[in-house]
Amino acid sequence: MADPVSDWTHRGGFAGLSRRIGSGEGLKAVERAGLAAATVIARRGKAADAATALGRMLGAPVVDGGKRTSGGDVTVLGTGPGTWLVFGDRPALVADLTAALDGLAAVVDQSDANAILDLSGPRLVDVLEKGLRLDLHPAAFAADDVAVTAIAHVGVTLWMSDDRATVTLAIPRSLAGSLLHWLEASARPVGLTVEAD
Amino acid sequence: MRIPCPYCGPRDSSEFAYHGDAAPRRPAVGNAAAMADYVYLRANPAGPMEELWYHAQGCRSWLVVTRDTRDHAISNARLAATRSPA
Ligand SMILES: [Zn+2]
Repeated sequence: MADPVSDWTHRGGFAGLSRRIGSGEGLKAVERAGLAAATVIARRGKAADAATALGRMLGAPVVDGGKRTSGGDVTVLGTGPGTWLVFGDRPALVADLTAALDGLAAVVDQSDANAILDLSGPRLVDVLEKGLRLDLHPAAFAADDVAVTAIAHVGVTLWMSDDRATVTLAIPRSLAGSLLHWLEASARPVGLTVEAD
Repeated sequence: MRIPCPYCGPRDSSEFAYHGDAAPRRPAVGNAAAMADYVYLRANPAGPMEELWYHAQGCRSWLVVTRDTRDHAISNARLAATRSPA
């Protein structure tokens, strides 16, 4: 018999919001839907041990700081002292984290909490600087840096690709419409394409 | 004003919530005079002062920030969690 819960299909926060504004050329926003996500919060005095355990799971060292570490299909983002936000393209992400961090950290499923947008295009930084109070110059923001901040009052977790060509924003999914409102207004002069299912 | 968060780096003060003087520490229960001082008595210095700021729109850490009340110059910021217990 079909399971009425597990048979639900994931619907991204930007679903149904695809659009093209002006030339559509300046900035491209593509929703990354369907990723599993979890917060990892180290128990008191266990931040270093939790970072080590995360690193073992990824096969790459994880630090207790605002850095991105990727390993296989899993990306670990430092969001606060002893705190990480983890994304993974696997249904068992939360179970795997819980097993790897037993006794070291609290793991909470956030798979349906976020909407994730990949931003790229020739006018990427010109648009972002209208709402982002961060310096994204390579001298100030390394390719593996992670920032938790706000854009137009929407809390965002921000990171970029190794080649710096794509900036990714994770936001609370219920605020997808609010962020899109800001993005439309800010990218209108240069053109915007939003791609979501 | 920008606040140099030890975790996040320099950030606009609008990302933070201000709590106030970091010096008062909660006294033991039962000492009414000490509790009144803890709640109400502030030195209000003109000069460097340690204050509690919460990085609400960032790493969600409480910070102890040393700010000069005359010109807002910030000489130090550290995680409040690294303070010794009261
Ligand atoms: Zn911070």
